[in-house]
This record gives sequence, C-alpha cells and structure tokens, in this order.
Amino acid sequence: MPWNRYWTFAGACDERKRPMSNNGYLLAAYAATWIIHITYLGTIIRRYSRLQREIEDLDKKDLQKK
Amino acid sequence: MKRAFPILGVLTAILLSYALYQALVAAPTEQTMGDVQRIFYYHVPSAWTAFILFFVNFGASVLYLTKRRPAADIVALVSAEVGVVFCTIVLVTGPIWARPVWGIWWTWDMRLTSTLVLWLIYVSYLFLRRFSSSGQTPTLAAALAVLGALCVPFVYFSIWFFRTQHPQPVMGGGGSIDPRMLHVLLVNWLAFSCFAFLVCWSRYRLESLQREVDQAHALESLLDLRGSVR
Repeated sequence: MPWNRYWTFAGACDERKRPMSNNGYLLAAYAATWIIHITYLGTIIRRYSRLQREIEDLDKKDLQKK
Repeated sequence: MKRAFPILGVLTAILLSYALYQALVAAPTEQTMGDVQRIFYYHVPSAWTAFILFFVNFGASVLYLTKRRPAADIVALVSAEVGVVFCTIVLVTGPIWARPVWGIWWTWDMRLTSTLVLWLIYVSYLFLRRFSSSGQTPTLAAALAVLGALCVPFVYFSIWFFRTQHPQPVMGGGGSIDPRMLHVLLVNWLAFSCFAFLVCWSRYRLESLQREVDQAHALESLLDLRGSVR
C-alpha cells in the first residue's frame, strides 16, 4: 500500500462518468499550456519580421552603393 | 522542403485537435481524482518532449565540441530553447494539478526540485547564448549543456531513488494505467512531439537566416571601414 493515496497519476477509470469536478484547474492547465506555446510562437514571428526588415535594409544599402 | 512545412503544419494541427478531443472527451474519468487528472495528458507528454529535446541538445553540443560544426551549434540552441518552453509547461501544469489533489501548489521534494533545477540550468544556458558576445560563447554553452544533460536522468530516475510526493512513473515503475488512458497519453505525446519538431524546424531556419544577416552586417562594416581608411 503506497504511503501517498494519490500515488499514481492515472489508475483505474470510473465507468459511472462522475459529474465534472475541479474543471477550473483543468481549464487553467490547458489554457496555460497553449498561452505559453502561442507566446513563444509570437516571439518567433516577431523575430522573423524584424529579420525581414533587416534584410530589406541591407538590400536597399546594396542598391544605393551600386 | 519548403512545401513540406505547411503540409506538416496542417497535419500537426489536426493531430493536436484530435489529441485534445481524446484528452477531454474520449479518455475515461479517473476514479479518485476525477476530471482534474486529465491535466496528466498535457503534463507528462510535455515532460517527455522536454527530455528528448534536452537529449538532442546534449548530442548537438557534443558534436559541436568535437567537430565544431555551426549547424550543430544551431541545433543545440534551438533544442534548448524549445525544451525550456516544454519544461516551463511541466512546471506550470504540475502545481495546477497538485493544488486540488495534494492540497498544496508546491513541495520541495526531489522530483519537483530537480525539475526546477534542470529548468534553471537551461534558462542559464539561454541567457549565456543571449547576452554573451564572446567568440567562445558556443563552446562555453556546449560545455554547460553537457553538464545540464547529466541532470536529465537524475530528474527522471529521482522517483525511483527517493521517497517523493510525486506519483510513480506511468510505465515501468510499478504504476498501473488503464489501456485507454495510455492510448490517449501516447496520442498526446505524438502530437506534442510533432509540434515540437515543427517549432524547432522554423526556429532553425530563423537562426540560420539571422546568422547570415549578421555576417552580411559584419562584412558591410568591414568594407565601410576599409573605404574610410583609403
């Protein structure tokens, strides 16, 4: 018998389909996951558009020199 | 290759939607914890994905230290960055699960503390990459990555070696899991692995392009300097 009664993440399943419980925590965890991913993707997109501007500036300078 | 990216993107989006449906609707409700246990379908795959990315970072860092290939340095940087994102998710979703189940947000037990230390090591790695402008930065970062990678097996096996509050491993550690729950877990892991691969791919392209632009800037400055001397 484990000393911690919540020893396993996922043990047996409940076939009676209990009413939804602690949905706020579930929603918070899923929302937090996607907020973190979307924020990171946002930083990649921002860096990419900054890089595009830098490339355009370099091209303009090249044209001016020619 | 350029055409493969949007196709893979769409397939990954479909897979992520399917995995979300499986986690929220199709997976059976756990007997003791109820629906809050479904956090497990995001928490565990994120942890596995982070470990794989840190392992890739280790391999690429060793390759860079031995062969000095710039591509290996880029792979190391990208895998560490995306790995930190996934590890952050593990550290955020874990306490959200722990609050209703354990009654506390956090406890300083071996698994939780070692995961936090692992995260801090890789955040330090990213800070080193970001704020150090020395020519030795990739070498120093690779050495730090090799040390950081030693922490990964320690985090993974900490629940075997120490008496921790953290639940037992899902597979191979004596814990039991319903086969339907295992299926949902593996679907979510596959979806997050594909997503991580795509993010790493786009980040790799961005970093390669950034380095080319930096080289062009350096060359331009050099030419300007030569022109002013003449």
